[in-house]
Amino acid sequence: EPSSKSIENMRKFSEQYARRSGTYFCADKSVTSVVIKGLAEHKDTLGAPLCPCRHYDDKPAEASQGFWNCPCVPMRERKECHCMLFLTPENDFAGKDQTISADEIKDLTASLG
Amino acid sequence: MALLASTPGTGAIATAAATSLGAPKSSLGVPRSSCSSRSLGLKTLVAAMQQGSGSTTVVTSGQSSSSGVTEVDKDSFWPLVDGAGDKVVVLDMYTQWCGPCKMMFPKIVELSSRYSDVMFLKLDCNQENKPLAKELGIRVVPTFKILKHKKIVAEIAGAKFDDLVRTIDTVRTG
Repeated sequence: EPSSKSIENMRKFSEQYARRSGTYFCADKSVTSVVIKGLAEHKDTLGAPLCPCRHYDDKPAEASQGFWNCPCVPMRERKECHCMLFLTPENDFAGKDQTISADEIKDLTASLG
Repeated sequence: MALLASTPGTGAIATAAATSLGAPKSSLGVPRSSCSSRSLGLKTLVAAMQQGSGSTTVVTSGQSSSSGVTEVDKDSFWPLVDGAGDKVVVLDMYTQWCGPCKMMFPKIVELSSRYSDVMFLKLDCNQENKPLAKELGIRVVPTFKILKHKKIVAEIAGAKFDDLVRTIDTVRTG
């Protein structure tokens, strides 16, 4: 399990970035919760929020290089987030929220990890 | 028969060979890794199952089956594929904290109950299973590999359920 501190940091980052980019969280917030925890886990282990929805040959090298650190380059340039963390309004899976509470993350991932 | 599947975002076409690190580019067949001595017990079990009536669900020691989708690892994957015979094999390659993976899994479970002639497997692409993940080739998570006769014949990169179903149907009837 990632640390509470990193989960909180990534939760706040996600809310802030969603607002800034005009994107929304998934209608199914369990998806959002899992990804936020994945980012937190990488923050703990690698020092950077490496995208948890990719497979890497060398995670530390990728974290240093930065392309896939959240927000990744595809997201910054084209608002493409295959983690389904930041969804444009026209995306079928987009909900209406740009906020997610710590309790929501905890409850929605209680059965995982 | 080789099928091409689209990758998310870019619209580019990805072949199994292109995404398979270090695998020969001349064909879409991915070479099997040699089985470790630890998997000999699995080989025996799989051979025994081949003699039986067969089932889409294979439960081996150390593996878990969740509603028709069997968790595999780097040691159990190829023995199970070997034992699949003519059955199509669908492998769900996922990571622990991948949101779309979690979203797709119930749908994969549903597919496993729909297709009795398909073997559904899942692989946690963690550090332990990294050699197998590298052998099979994966960048985007989830990635679904479809195998027939022990060779990868198609791949879906990303949480694209409709594409996955279409591809499974094509491979099954091909």
